[in-house]
This record gives sequence, C-alpha cells and structure tokens, in this order.
Amino acid sequence: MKKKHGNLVKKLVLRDGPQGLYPEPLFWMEGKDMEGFNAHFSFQYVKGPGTCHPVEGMLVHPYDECLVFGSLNREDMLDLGGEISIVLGEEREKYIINEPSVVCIPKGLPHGPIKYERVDRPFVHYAIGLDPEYKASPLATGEPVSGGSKYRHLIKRLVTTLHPGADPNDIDVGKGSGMGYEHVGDERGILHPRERGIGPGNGDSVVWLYGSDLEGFDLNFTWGHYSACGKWHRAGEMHQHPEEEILVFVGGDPDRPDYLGAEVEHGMGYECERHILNTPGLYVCPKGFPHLPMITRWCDQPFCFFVICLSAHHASPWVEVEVPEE
Amino acid sequence: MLPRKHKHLVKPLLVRSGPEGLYPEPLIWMEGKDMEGFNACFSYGFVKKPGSCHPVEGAVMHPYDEVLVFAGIDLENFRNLGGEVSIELGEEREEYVFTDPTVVCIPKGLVHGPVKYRRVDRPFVHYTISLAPQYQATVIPPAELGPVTKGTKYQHLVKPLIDPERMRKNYERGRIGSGMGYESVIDEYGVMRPRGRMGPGNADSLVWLYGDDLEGFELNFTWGHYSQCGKWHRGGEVHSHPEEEILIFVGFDPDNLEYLGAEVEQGMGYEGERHIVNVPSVYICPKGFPHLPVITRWVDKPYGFIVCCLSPDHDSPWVEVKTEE
Repeated sequence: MKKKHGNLVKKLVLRDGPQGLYPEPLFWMEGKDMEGFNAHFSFQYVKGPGTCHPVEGMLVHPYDECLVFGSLNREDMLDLGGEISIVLGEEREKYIINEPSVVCIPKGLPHGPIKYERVDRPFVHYAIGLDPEYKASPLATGEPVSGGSKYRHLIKRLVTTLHPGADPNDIDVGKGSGMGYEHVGDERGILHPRERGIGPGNGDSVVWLYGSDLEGFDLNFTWGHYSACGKWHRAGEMHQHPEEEILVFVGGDPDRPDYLGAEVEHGMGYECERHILNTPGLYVCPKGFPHLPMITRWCDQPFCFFVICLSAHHASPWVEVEVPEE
Repeated sequence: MLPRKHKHLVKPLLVRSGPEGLYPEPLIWMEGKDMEGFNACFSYGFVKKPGSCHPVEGAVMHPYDEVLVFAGIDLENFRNLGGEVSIELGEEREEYVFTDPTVVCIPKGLVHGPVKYRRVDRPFVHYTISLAPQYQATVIPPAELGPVTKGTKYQHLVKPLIDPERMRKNYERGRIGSGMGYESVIDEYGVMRPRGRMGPGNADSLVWLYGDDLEGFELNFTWGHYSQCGKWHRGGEVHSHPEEEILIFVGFDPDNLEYLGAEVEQGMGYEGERHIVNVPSVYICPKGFPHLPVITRWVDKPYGFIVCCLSPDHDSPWVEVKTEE
C-alpha cells in the first residue's frame, strides 16, 4: 500500500564528508537529503585518537554550528570516555574537553581542528550546521595557543539546564520541551523520562539544550540513550511544532554504524500513518506537521536518539485525535 | 485526524447482568449483536468467593456448543487455579471436581450446571464461549433434577487447560497449530512462553486449544498473561484468517472489571489503521480481514488476553505489506 509520507523517512547514509573535514566515512546528511530541511548534520563514532573538522588547518562557516561530543556510557551519561582539544578563534586558543560537551560556533568564527587526544572508550561526535548546505572557507594557521579564555563561554557541558520553579509562561526558561521533560531531571541535569513516567519506551538518559543554552542559536537539540519498548509519551497522541524538526535514530555499537538494534514506529501526518525504522534513520517533520506517537516495537540492543529542532524553543502543542475508542 | 474506517470493529466490553439466573453478579457479557454480528457470545468474570453459577439454581441446556473456562491469574504460577470447582454434567448429574485450570466442553443439548465454587484461595477467572451469536437456554428447575451422582460418562468433557502430554502429541502428529510459531515456545509444563522469542509485548504465559482438543468444536481459543511493552509478533506485520475471530483484552483487577491496566494498539485493515484500547475491549476481525501488528504501548498492571477464533484450526497467512521505508 502506498504511503503518503514515505518521503519524510530517510535512512542515514554512511559516506565521505566534505573533502578534508573528516578522515573517515561518517553519516552525512544535508538539506537536500532531508526534503529541504534547513540544516545539515554529521554523526560518527570516535574510537581512537585522531584529527578532524578539519583534518588540517582551520575553517570558517557562514552559519552557526554546534559541535557535539556525547557519551555512549549507559551507566553514566556524563562520562565522555576521552579527552578532546579544539582550537577556536583567530587567536587559535586551544581548549581541552574531557566531559560531554557542545561547542557553539557562531558564524564567521574560525575553528578547528578537533583533536581526539585520548579515547578510553568510544563516544560520539555530531555536528549540526544551521544551513541546508555545508559551506566552509579554509584558513591557514600556525600553532595553537594554550591558556586563553576568550572563547571559553562557547564550550558548554552537555546537560539540561533545569529551572525549578520557573514561571511556565516564561518562554526562555519555563516552557522547555513543552512535553514535561523538565520534571524528570536529576541534580546533574540528566533527564530520565522512562523511569520517571513520561513513557515506557522513552530515554533512560536524555539531555536537552535550548537556544538560551546555545548562544541564542535558532536550535534546540537532544542526546539520549534508549533501551526499552513501548510508547514514548503517555500524555498525548500527536503533536506538532511551529518550526521544522528531524528525529534521528542511531545505533549504540561503534563497530556497526549501520546497525540500529531496535525497531520503532512513528505516526506521521493527520492520518497517523505509521512509518517504521529498524536501521539508522531519521524522520523529517516540516513546520506544523503532526507527528507521534513514537513507539519502540522491539529492542535487541540499546540505541541512541537525538532531536534537531530549528528553533530556540520547543513549542509542542498536542494535536486533537480520538483516543481511546468510544 | 481523518475519519477512521474500521472503528466499528473495536468495542469496549460491557459489564452488566447476564441472562436472568445464570450468574449472581454483573460480569462482562457480550453477544453477537454487540460485536458486529460475530457468531458467538462470551462472558468474563472473577471468582472471588464460594458460590454457584451457570445457573445459580437448577441446570441449563443450550442449543449450541459451549466451553466453560476456569483459569488462574497467579502471575508467578500460571498453573495455579487458586480454588476448587465442581460442575454437574448430564441428566445423570454426574459431578466433577477440579482444582487446576480447566475447560469444560458442553456439546449442544447437554444438561449442565450449576458450577459451584467450593473453595476460593485467591481470585481466579471464569469465562465462557458459546458458539451462537445469541444466548439461548432451556432452564431445568431444581425440583426437576435428580440426585447428584458420581460417574465417568462425561469425564472426557472436563479437560485440563494446560496439558503437556496433549501438546506433545499434537506436535508429534504435525498439527499446524497457531500458524504463527507459538508451538516452538512451549515449556515442559505445556505453557507457551512467547514473549522472548516471538515479540517483546507477547505473553509471559499462554495456552492455546484447538478444535481437536475441544471435542471437535468449531473453535480455537487462548488464555494468556501479559505484562510487557512492545510488538507481539516480530515475524510479520499483518495477517488474516479464513474464519472470524475476536481478540479480547481483559484486566486482572478482581474488584474492577472495567480496568485494563495497559494500552495496546492494533493495525486494522489493509490500511494498517491503528486502533487503541486502554479499557477492557474486543477487536473484531471478520473472515479474511487483515489485522496486526498488536503493540503494547504501556503497562501499569499485567492483564489477560483471549483469542476466540471460530474454526478448529488457526490458519494465519501473513498479508504482504511494506514494513520498511
């Protein structure tokens, strides 16, 4: 049976990124691969020391970008499992990172390379560029300089900023995900939506960062570990966002990038048309497009999931549907 | 959301008084007219204390075949009924007593009843499946009944619900069974354990009886305990049966027949249209109607599920659909 929204479901493509950016093939998806989504992203597993973004020299993008370094340690999401350095600015200030982090790169800021100085256990790196197409200008550089602090504020811990007692009408700090995730966080800024009642298929550990955490970028995104079956959000059936969003599924096995280890189904459009993924893939949700429920159908191995939503906020009004049967 | 084509095939179960004199308390009672003309009716209730039923007094006779099922809700031990039950069968009023989960086959025209709950150690379940769309009975008042006797004439009609020997023999003679692979997940006690191998949302414990286990009745049915989320059948997406079937979801709270404790969705029709239930309900699958997948979305409390398929066998061909994008 032909499905109406099949075009909005994409398998992730393992391929070479732009020349000189990454030394090995990785998941690389631009707007043209995602029905015109107004951003692009990369995703890779970091398994050993090396250099990337770019492999040599520095570069500049004409758009904002986030470079994310996330943990695969299911026991402790704040254990990165390695040490990274990144060079920022014309001053070539070198910063050391050894916990899960996101580096905010405002458009025009020279940056790179990233060096994986030490890898104790595999972790992930994904980059989100706020433009549908990758663009970069290379810069020739000298030796990086240690000890600077001009760009320190651009390096953020990959945790959720919680605002207990915030005014729920304060869009910057009170609304959050719009789905109740703010109530399931622990003292370290990690959300536990599965065990704390959002839904049995939801994340074991999730972090969610918004524009106010990300230098005001028009972006909010997540990183999460998932391992259980069931519906992700018991509170409602379908929702939508005023801004476009992608929902990205990747595996938890660094040695099998094309293996998801689980099967999920996702309702898409007013028809609630179900679309199934059981390999690394993504769902594209255009502006105002009704989607959900997300349901994990089976899970052989824990997997990872992240949202990329092109707004500083994550307004998520539920869409009225008939549930349950009358 | 767009109008849905198959909504009429999903019904909440009705808690109400059964036919006069049949049961002493309200129970789930569904006839064909409540299920889009399904050609059988069924009841479901909890047994919580000693008493009599089916009928409360005297005996009854139906012009159709019927099964009376007595099953446990002990999640730790599927084989524990939790009480002692007797039933009188035939004009001879032969009394049979059992303490294990049991199905009693009542061929049409056989005088039977009452069922007596002699001892109830813990609540258990009693359900009936009658192979006619409408309940009909001839009531024999107590004054017209002879004395209760001991005998063996009807012993063959009283069958253990869980029987490893029956399972083994059926397997050896190559019976097709469920047509879905459940036969490969049977333990040494004759209990199916499909959750691990067939799908994460499938049953923790399950039994399935077919027509040749049931005096040749035009029926196969199941009884199962369920507690986990996920898809029930990883082996396929949508299937159909040549005969009509209902899929019944019931709760395990003896004090609340209207509580399911879980939410499931099922695809219905070629469209895979999803229909959700979170109260005790039935999905009606007419002959040849494509259905599945069943996916458990959340579970607050373990629940029960019954297949009632109006055929001695359970032919289940998968229907071709595109499962990957």
